[in-house]
Amino acid sequence: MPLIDLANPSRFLALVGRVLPWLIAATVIAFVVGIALAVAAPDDYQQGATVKIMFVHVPAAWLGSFIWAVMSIAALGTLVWRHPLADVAAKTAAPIGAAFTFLCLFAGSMWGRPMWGTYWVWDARLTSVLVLFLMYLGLIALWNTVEDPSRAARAAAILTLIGALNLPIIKFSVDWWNTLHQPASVMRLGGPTIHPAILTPLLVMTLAFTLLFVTLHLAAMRNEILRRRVRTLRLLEAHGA
Amino acid sequence: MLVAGTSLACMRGGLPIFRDVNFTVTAGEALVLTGPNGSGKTTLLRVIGGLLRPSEGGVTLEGAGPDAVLAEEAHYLAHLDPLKPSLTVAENLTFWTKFMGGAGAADEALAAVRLERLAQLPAGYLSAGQRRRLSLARLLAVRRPIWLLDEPTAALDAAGQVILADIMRQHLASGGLIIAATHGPLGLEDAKTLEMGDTRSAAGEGASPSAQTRGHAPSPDFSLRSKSTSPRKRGEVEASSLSRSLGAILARDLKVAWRVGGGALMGVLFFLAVVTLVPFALGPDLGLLRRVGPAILWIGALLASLLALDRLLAVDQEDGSLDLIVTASAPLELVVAIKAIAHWLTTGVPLVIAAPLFGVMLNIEPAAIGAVTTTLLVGTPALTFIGLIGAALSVALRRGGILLPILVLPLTVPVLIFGVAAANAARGGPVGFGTPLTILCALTLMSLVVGPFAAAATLRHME
Repeated sequence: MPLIDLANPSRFLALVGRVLPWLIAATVIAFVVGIALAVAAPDDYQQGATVKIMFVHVPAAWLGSFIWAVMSIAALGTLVWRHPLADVAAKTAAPIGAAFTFLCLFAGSMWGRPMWGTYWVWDARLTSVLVLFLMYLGLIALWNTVEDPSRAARAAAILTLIGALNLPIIKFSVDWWNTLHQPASVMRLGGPTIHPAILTPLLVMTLAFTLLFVTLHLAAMRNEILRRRVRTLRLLEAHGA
Repeated sequence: MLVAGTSLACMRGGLPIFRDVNFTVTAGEALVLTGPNGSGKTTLLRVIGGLLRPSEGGVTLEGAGPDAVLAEEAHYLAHLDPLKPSLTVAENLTFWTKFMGGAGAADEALAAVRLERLAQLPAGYLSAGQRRRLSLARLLAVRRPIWLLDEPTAALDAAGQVILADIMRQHLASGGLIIAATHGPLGLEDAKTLEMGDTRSAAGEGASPSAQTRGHAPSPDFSLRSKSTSPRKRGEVEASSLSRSLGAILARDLKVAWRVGGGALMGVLFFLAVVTLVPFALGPDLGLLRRVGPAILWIGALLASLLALDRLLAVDQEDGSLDLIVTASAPLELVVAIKAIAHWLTTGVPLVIAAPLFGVMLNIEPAAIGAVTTTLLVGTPALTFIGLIGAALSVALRRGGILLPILVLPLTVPVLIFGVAAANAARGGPVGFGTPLTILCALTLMSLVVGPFAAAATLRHME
């Protein structure tokens, strides 16, 4: 089905209705397999069982950046192709992205407690993710500030693209800031390679998380379309009276 | 009941807007103010409503009981419709009815202006004409005897103008009185007219001649003496319950903050951004961050609370609510204090709740985190109430934005000093935790008293 056919929200809703049960099933299966593999994975010889936090932490971190990329494509859709569903996709992806980024920060801080002896260190990676989290929250605030969604869409699209340009610069600056101030005194994860016994469950968990995102995102887009219809109906009600 | 203005004059920016205006309106009568733009129609209405002080002359109210105050008997319908877009039509109307001590039923008033079907719709969805009708419903629900209407037909369609004419006639028939400024016909056949501006009214009876010499500003010169001065028997003015008014404004502010949702989130977000930026400037040295952590948290909370202050009174000014609030029977000091409390609950408390989490990020030890959170809980009300003065000043001067922090920041210095001192004292030192904390409490209590009085005095003198 070409993308333009999905421009019709009714057709999109019908498609979501058909696809969503299969996606939910796939997500559940992927999580069952992934968690089983993760439980069976060997403990790290240094970090013990806490290494298993990685199976949540790394996929969440991947989704944190992946969802921003999804939003950037949606932003191009809003600004360049004027695809009517693009701003719906962008708006609904932001809270999910913020949630996964928060999950990544939270899991990292839980991991950090036994490893570093403190919940939070101003490590370059953690700090870049924190800045990403702040940008997600700013974007959500922008969406919430403007009541009319089509007016907020263009402003949010521009901010998303600026963010996509800036995120690598922020990442680079934070790395530079951290190494300038403090040599790597913080113990970092991993050696030169990751053993397949850990890599396989990690990949399965990443797949499961990505499937979870796609499921949540489609459901959220459906809700947003319905919410906008309710809003239009109420506006019509106001002007019909 | 009789409202009379005698030799009224009003100056704005050193220039006279009108001089020597005389009028008398009695119960059951309507006075229509006409005249070109800039002739002072709105200014005259605001003088009568108690929002402006005339430079000469005065407006008197007779026959309305010994304790009656003109501003509390009058209901001013301004250009702006004082509505909160996030509240429903019915909620907006019920708020004003409760706040202004009205006795009328909201649903009847909505039915009278044909808005009953939209009662549960957010007011933000209404068109300009519908907003206007909702304001007319407010006149009916609050039921004050004197209506001051500024361009009441603006934005109304033909059907709306018929409704307006109907409710004005009913009001006059039930012994009310109306003073309306308009450019078009109102549908009141036997209304008196007061021609403002430099054209002399032909209907002038006992017109007081004012010198129209060159160089003088145009002055309206028409006086109207009513012959029908029979005082109307008016029902007892219901004593507006103060707690009802204050409860209404607290509930409205909390509800608006909850519906809009942005305020609390943005304050905390800004707080987090400040806390994140400081390590980028200082370096990721955990020992250093731990040492300066309480100071960072206090500065972050201070800046975040300043950020939201801009909205404390400005929103009510922008939609015209402030005019009705200033002239309400509830003491302005209490009203602004209640508004500040609502503001603190929605913007200050979230900062206090977020502070322990940010404290963990700065690697502050648990005892000091508890101390910082306590000092913030005690100290943020002081920030809000000191900020209330700044908010009132920036509203009165009609200069928002950057002026407010410049005015407020120096005033918050003592709060910052003792807040951080108490938090640091909790880590052990020559002075105990109790001493600076007690001083901080004293500062907060003092600002709770001084803030509302200063803010109310500022708002009363804005003109």
